[in-house]
Amino acid sequence: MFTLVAIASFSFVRLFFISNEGKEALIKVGNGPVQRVSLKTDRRINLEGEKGRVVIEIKEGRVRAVESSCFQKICVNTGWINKPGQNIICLPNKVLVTIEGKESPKIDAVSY
Amino acid sequence: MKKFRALIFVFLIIFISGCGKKEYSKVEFLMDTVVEIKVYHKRKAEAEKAINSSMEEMKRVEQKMSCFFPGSEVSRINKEAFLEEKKGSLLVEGWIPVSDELFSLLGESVLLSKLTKGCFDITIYPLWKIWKFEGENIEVPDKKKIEKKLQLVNYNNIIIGNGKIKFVKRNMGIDFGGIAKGYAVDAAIKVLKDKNINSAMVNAGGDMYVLGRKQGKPWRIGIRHPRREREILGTIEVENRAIVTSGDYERFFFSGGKKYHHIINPKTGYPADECQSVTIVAKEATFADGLATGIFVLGPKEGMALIENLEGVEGVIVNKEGDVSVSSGLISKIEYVN
Repeated sequence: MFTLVAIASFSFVRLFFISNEGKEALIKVGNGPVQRVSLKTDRRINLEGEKGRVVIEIKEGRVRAVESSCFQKICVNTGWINKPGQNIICLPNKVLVTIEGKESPKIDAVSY
Repeated sequence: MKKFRALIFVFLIIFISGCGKKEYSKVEFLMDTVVEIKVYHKRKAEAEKAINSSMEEMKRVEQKMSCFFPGSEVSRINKEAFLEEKKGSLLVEGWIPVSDELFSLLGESVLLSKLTKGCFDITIYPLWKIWKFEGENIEVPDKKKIEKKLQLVNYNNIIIGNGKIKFVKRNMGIDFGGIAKGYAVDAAIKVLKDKNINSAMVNAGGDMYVLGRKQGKPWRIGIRHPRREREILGTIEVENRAIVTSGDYERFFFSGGKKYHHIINPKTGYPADECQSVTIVAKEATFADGLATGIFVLGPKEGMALIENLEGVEGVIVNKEGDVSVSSGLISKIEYVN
């Protein structure tokens, strides 16, 4: 009956900026350590988030969340990201995926 | 020639002062959002220690100020501030002692309520509880229920004095949700300053403070476009300032084809609909946070007049039609993005 569309949480620091393509992604689950993964090898990574599983897909230098146990699926709806500073955030599962790149973004942060 | 030499000297100082500092950062999930602390500093150990202490400070603030933690000071107030004590045959209302920290935040909240003509109001808690923006079965609360809860919302019904608080009505409650993120950002910045950090950014889900300059240059901050998800409206260059935005796109749901977002007007009980977003640039994030929420409810015209009247405060308001107004001190500084 009701379509839930809450947004915002996925948009985070430096989300919006166009720069060169990144070669690595940083993945953080909860307040655990940051994992660094290469975007050169196509694969799927299963992450155990706070509420359940989040599946990340890496393909042709891009990354996206293909599956998540969260209700709103904001992370999955974010789609592919491949530019430094872009993020995928799943707040219910406390999963953050950020693209790393050498070229610094033109903007330090976004207020939203 | 002397002027030229002086100029070179000034440039050299600026150059040297920005040199040798490396970027250190940490990201954590806190306060129902992603918090990033970024520091530019010469010594790694000092920078990391400062970041960790700063993050711990934000956690402490969250534990203390959240009305969602049963053990928090705010939860205790909400439970006990309309307590009736039996003294013999008389019923005596109870006063709850509050910490100095919470007492001063209560004072700032009341000031913000007065400035915004009650459009920012921490006594919104009973209303906020029936508007559930989380979970799977989100729906618009019953009209009668909203009207009933509205009777409990009015900051004039909080009595504070001598380090104590009392609610005038039973079932009243307070929620610092409209100000707590800003307060946590300020608290984190204070810790960084105490640890001799002079170039940093604390960003709590888009509400931030930028300390000093970033490698000799002002920080460049984008303001999100309220209707284009991945785009920004414009950018501003700032230093030693808080930048906070309230928008109707952060949390919302549709019901019967109508959009309901999370910024509730404390006077009507329903989402405020005069603005799409309000960005405030101010000296403190606490004030900026409360003011952005209050002005979002107050509306673009009165809101901009208020911004212009406040010293050291600038702002950008996008009204419901999508028209952008910028305060006089920002007009020449904002760079629009097409």
